[in-house]
Amino acid sequence: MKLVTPILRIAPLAALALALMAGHAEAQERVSAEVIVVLAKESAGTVDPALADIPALQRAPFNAFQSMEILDRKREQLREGVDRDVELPNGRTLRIRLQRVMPDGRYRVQVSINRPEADAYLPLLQVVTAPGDPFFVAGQSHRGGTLVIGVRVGRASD
Amino acid sequence: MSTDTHIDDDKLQRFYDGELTEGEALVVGRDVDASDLEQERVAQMERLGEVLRAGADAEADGIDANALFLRIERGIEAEPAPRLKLIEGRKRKNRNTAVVAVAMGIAAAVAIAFLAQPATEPEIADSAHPDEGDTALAGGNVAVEDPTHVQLHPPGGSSVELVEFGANTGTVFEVEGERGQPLAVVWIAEE
Repeated sequence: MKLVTPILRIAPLAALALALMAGHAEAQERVSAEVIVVLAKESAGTVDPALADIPALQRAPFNAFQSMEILDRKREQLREGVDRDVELPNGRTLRIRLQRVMPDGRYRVQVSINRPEADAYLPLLQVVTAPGDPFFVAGQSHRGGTLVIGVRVGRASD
Repeated sequence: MSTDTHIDDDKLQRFYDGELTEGEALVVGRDVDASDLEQERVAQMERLGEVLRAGADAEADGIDANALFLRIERGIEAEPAPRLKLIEGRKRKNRNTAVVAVAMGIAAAVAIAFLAQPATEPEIADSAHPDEGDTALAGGNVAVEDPTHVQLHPPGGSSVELVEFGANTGTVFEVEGERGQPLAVVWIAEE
């Protein structure tokens, strides 16, 4: 019991200190995010080589598109609970918010796509994503094609 | 050859083990030869030694350690010997208590950290696949209809927890990433 008693006394204090440290570190964390806007068309064309790092765009159903052109690629720094807006080429705004960093290292992210004074195209999307793994929002008509928006939060090494 | 002579347990064991000096061994050997009881005690030690040697051989052959220990334990019970007995691990118990205390501390830390997290909206769905019965509704939340088809996967990839399509219709599905991880896709058809 000589060893056990001090441990029992220290354990609650250590637990509290760890919790406070974890909460402080989390509150300070900034997470990088990338939003890539692609115009995809079913007509013959080329696929931008810069999309090679997103193999998912070469799989079904995206492989139905014969051409893919990167219209925009933006990097943002996200903080928990803070909105970041990205203007889309069709006049809408993509709003992204890091809701929280989860205990397992994944991110819970909320996305919406709206146009001022118009019904929201996508009022709310809540996604849990691993660092560096993208998710996609597709379907908006634009310039004879379809917009495919990829969002990547954090990096695989984050 | 029976006598009332009783050789000390420890000395008899050391005699059997060959640890006595030459003079002591001569004396004890003479006493053993003169006593049926002492001869039987030495015979017990021999049988126990055989059990232990068999156990050691079995262990060398990679036989299950628990079965081996059980056999040895039974051998000790069947052939009580003065220098062999099972001893409760008191120090082990203390260590277990310390481990429990540390574990309680860690658990408390995790619990406090968990409680300190801001409240979040309830999770609607882990992920959905277009072939597995997800539903797209205009003007409302969308969730996987059949909870038996919710896919659980290790932390990798992305998955939709909640989506509102507003006035549009849409669907949620997954594509495979470069490492085979599921990547969420929300496809919205504009009305």
